Amino acid sequence: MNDPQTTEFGTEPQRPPPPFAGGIRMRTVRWMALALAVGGLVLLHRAARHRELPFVGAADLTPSMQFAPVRARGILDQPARIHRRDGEVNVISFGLRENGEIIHAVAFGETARILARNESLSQPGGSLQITGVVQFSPRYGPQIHIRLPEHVEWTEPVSRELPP
Amino acid sequence: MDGTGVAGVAAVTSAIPFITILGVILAGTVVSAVASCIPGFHVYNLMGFMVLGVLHLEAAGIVLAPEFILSGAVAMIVTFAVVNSLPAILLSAPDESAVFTVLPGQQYLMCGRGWEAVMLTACGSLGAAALLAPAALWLLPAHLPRWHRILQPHAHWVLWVVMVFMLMSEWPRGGTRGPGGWRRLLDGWKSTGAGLLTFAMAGGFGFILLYRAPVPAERAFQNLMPAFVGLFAAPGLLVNILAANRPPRQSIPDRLDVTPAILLTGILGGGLGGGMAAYFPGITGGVGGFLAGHAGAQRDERIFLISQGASKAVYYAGALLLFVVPGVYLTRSGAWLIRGLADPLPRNDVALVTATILVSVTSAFVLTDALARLIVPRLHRLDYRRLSIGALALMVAMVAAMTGGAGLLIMITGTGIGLIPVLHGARRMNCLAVLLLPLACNMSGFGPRIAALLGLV
Repeated sequence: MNDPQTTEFGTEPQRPPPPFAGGIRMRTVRWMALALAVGGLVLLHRAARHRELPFVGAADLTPSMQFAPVRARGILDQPARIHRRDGEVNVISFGLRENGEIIHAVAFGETARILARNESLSQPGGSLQITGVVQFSPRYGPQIHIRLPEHVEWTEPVSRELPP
Repeated sequence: MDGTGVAGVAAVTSAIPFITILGVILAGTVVSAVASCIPGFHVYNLMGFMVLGVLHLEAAGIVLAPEFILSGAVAMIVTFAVVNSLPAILLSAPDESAVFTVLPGQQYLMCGRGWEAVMLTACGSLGAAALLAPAALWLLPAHLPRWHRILQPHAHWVLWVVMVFMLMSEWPRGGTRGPGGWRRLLDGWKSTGAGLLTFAMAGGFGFILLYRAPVPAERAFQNLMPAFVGLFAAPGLLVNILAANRPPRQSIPDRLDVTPAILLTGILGGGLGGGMAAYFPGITGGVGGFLAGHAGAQRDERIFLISQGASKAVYYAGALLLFVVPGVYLTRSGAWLIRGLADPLPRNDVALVTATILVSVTSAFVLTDALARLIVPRLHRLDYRRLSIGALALMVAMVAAMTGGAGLLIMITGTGIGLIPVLHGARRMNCLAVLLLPLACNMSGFGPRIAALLGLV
């Protein structure tokens, strides 16, 4: 590799020897970095996929849980509120009551449009389980942002009795 | 306009003594300035621990006034933006917003002009803050809500365009010698390929972290911290440990070799890029400065360094201003750390944040000069290897304390990805795909579907 090479373009200048890094060949370090990146991503992906998301109640949510993927369950408190922009559903929000406390859930865009078509969300009393990400602000308090319509699951049909 | 500025400060100080607020700002500035000298350190890491401290105090019944939290946090972040040039240039450990200052900065350093490079960058930050202040008090509250309504629906494609530009600017560097053929083609595409690979891996990494980061739920607000330590801090420190280069003896001239025209060009270019980075999610000050540098076709290294300083200051300070501008209340960059603790009160906070930015940038500029004069003469005797080992140990301890074993796994993965561009001569900016790619997909509406395909939701 380090010998001068004669080609049809002439003799190539001799390349400098590959740099060493504390006695380790740089090529080895490069392969180690790549192995670390690929191996780490595979492990992380496995850890993330097999992670059981925690169930939370309204009292558990603190600002340090911002961005935490969580699950929550409860009874639909009131009919879901639907916000429209230019006549199209933009945001849907509803509250889940559990143990006297309410967790607010919200979905945007396409997810909100699909959820708005679900008539069950307009009838309070049904038991729901949601999966989403915690978003916290002092103004609106803690909310769970639902990313996909499949993340709203009905665990029980609408009960005859409305929640207190 | 209803007399926002001075009236706003007066309203705050009528409730809390002015001297107390000033004390908080100066304390935040000094703490951040000292911590920012640590290679690889990012102020958001320290602020994560402070957020936990505030929450513990609240749990114990001690509630801090939002003005304290806001002014202290703004002072720390803005000071970091200025003082961070010291380790980025002198100790070769840039954060994600300073990765571009390293090349010209190191050229200055290797010519014995490290102090000049640091101070040119600091001048950019100071000048940009001076221009940002009137904009914050009069321009942004009056016009930003309207601009935001226009720009917001277009933000997703702007991110895609930025990413395309980043990738297209990775130009093949090798393959210029020898006969044509596969070997020459591969040689030519080596660094470009490394850049593309870094981008793809960082993007996948970002999807995992944004959708299902395996960190404990009660520490989720810091789920990107180990990734950023791994992607940006650790590779630089590792290269320092392995290579252990020492800069030559440095000199400190009586004055900076810069004209007002160069200063203004750098500040305006960097300010434009920093403003763009502050507004659009996922774009950092470094990328903003890079875009502004290309747009302005800056060739002078002094303009480049000044523009990077300006871009960093506007990016960090601007993101905090957008958080408090009435009618906008955008959460960008460091505002995510404050969001859970302090409600952006209209009017008063714009004045408070602007005043804090001005006081802390000026103090940070003075501190940068003092610290640079302290460090620079000793630089050629400094043991970079030991310093980097110590800094790396500190980073590992911080990640472990904040996010546990899962955080360490994230950091190690990030280090592997972050080392690829460093070792193959590609741009480290590609690591920013960790945020850009998932955010652009989310804003375009198909992020959750991709995450579902990856089995993450």
